[in-house]
Amino acid sequence: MTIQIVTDSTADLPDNLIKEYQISVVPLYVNIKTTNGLESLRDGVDIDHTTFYQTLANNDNLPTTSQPSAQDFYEVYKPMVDAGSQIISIHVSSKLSATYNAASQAKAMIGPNAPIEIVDSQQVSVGLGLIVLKAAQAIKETKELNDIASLIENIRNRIEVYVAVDTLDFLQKGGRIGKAAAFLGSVLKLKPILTMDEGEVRPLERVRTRIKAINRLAHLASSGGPIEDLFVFHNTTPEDCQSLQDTLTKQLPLKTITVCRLGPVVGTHAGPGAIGLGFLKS
Amino acid sequence: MSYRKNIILAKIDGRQLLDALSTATLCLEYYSNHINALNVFPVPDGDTGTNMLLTMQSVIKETKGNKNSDLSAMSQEISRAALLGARGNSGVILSQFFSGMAKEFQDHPYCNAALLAKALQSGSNAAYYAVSKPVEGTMLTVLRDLSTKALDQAINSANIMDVLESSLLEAHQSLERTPDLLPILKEAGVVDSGGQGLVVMLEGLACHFKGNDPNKLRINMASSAEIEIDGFPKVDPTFLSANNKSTYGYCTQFIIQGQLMDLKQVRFTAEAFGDSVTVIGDESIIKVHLHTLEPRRILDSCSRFGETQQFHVDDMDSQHNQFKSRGLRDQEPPMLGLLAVCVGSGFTDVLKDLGCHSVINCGDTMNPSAEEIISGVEKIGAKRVAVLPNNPDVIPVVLQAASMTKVELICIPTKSIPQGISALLGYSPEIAVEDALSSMNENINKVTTMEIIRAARNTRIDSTYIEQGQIIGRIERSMIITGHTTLEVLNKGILKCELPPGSLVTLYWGQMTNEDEAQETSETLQRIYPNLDLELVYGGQSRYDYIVSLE
Repeated sequence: MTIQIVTDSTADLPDNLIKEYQISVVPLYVNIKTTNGLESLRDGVDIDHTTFYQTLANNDNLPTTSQPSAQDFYEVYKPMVDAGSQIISIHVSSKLSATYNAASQAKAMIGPNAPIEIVDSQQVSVGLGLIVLKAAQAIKETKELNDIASLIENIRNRIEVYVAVDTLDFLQKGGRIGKAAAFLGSVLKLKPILTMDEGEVRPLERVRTRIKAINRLAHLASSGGPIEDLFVFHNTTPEDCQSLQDTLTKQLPLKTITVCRLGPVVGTHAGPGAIGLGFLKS
Repeated sequence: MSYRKNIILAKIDGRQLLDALSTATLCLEYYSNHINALNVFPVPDGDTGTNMLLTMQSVIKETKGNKNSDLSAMSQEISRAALLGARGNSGVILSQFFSGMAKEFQDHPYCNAALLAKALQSGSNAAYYAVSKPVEGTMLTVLRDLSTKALDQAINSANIMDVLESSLLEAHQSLERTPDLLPILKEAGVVDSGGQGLVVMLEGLACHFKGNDPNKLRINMASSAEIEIDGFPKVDPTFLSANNKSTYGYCTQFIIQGQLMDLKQVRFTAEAFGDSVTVIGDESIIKVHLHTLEPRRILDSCSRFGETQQFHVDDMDSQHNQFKSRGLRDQEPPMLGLLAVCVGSGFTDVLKDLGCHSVINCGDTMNPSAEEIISGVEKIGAKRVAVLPNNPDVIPVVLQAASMTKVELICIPTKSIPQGISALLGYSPEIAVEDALSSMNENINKVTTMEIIRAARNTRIDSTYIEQGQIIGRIERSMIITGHTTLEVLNKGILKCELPPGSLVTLYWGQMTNEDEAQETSETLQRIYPNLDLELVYGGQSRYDYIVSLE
């Protein structure tokens, strides 16, 4: 019996990895107001990264996002189940999105005993991407759904994700940063470094310049003990991301450092200029 | 005053010491502007005269009304009042001096010449001990020289006047020598300002014991010719007492419950202990309010009328303040409290916005007293409070405050407000207190501070001549840049700092600066330096046109 890996578009995984590991990605929606009215576009399907960030820069109206419908999940799950596959469906933190709920509803539509394991990653973007990738690698070795589930549990606890944003505006307007944002103040311009903690976005440090923020990101990855896998990411600043990758290549004994680009949904909340990294501790 | 000239003074008690210090304070008041003007920098950031005066005025205020002639008790009180009221570096040194003297006077109802000399010595030692890196050519040197001289003289003479006068003479000479010991003084053509303050005080003491009129006292001031003193101030000798009348000890309140009590008698009793007396009530319940130095004694005296209750004293007792503020607080106190000292409403907002639980806005100059710091620290209610002094002169006051409160006070030695803001950014409530503290300390030197000010007078620093009205920029309080406009100096200063691309320059504009002009300056600089980020924030500081943070 085969195991299929399903995730959602907030995993921000590069296309080559999605193809290589045959990962099914269910897109979230990004809703953009244009002259034609409100358009609801499937993340990465109806709108690509470049088009999205151009739109974001040129459009005064901030886009909004919404989770896939249960029907969207059903349409992915149903053929897999019918073909006799088991499914591991790993999703964005349930504290940030209702995607997990939609997936659960879809499972219920198919049947309470459907061979579908739905996982709340408590992560987003590369944090989710790392878990998905590890699960996809593991199914090549083992065929037991339960083993995969406990492996994911183990991985989830070893992942750290840090992001430096150019401004908090987008996270605040999107409601994705809680009360802790008060810590970041509002008088001075800051380049806050945020992290994922128990499924939520939490401010970690207050830095005043982008250069310091990027240096700090590198330090966070290189100073916390050995790591297995490292993803770096950006959305509109490939050069900065490249130099972060170069720095870390020199500092860390890793074969590869995967570069990801934040997709439209995560990009809506992080805002342009976001840069960060996620890694799996050994 | 019953002393005559050439009088033999064999001993003095506590009351006499306090009276003499009052006169010395009066003299400090006459000369405080002069002492301030002795600052070696054209930027008068020391305020030595003002700080010494404020410290002494606090001593006089706190001990006023004390009729106790016991030297031991009085000197303890003087020492404590000085500790609480100490302002700036010179104030702290002065207060430590008093505390050293008080130790020597312990258990002595009065002192003779020998004991006075020993006390001066002990005071001088305590002052040296209080400064982590004592510098010669400062008031410490003058203190040591005059106390050494006093010890010598006390071997030959039992007359306190002899001891005082020879130490005074030595103090004058020691002061003259300060430029030889401290090159920066020589460069500026001045003597040490704190040392000058001591000489003024000693002159005041000598004048007092001689029975001379302090208003007629003319002190031979050792100073450069450039400094102008606007005439000789004429201060009414009653000024001091009149000025301090309204503050009289502790605000004391209690209730007496009894039967057939006589309101008049209660009032009469209360009036014997203090002023601002109000006694209200009836035969069975009376509320008493007064300002007194002896709250316990008035309470005891009134207990004969009935049962005293709800005894309430507003004083500086730290526990009491803590207790009171704890009652008012509705939230859990933070694990680590944060208090910052600053000048300017804009800076106050920035510091609060970034999470300071308490900010002391000094208004004009950075010279909070230890008492203000203690009160601010205790109001937070946390067991541990990190304090950002944001000025080198405030650091010793913070250290002083630390020794006087039960709160664990941790000084993060920030020397400018930008350093303080940088340190503050290292704080996070999410991480362990120890980690937050070390991160704050690490952050201190991640910024460079530049201060822009208009020169108050003609002067010379290093080899740079500065004309009155010229714009001066100081980078990290050392490197000097001059120019004719703030823009010119800012531009030169930024250039000097050799910032890498992507660096941030934050211009905090002061209350004397015009907002439009600040906006224009910032925009011009942004055009000159397209690779830097310019940010304009209102600081509201009084002296500096701009305080600039470069990082």
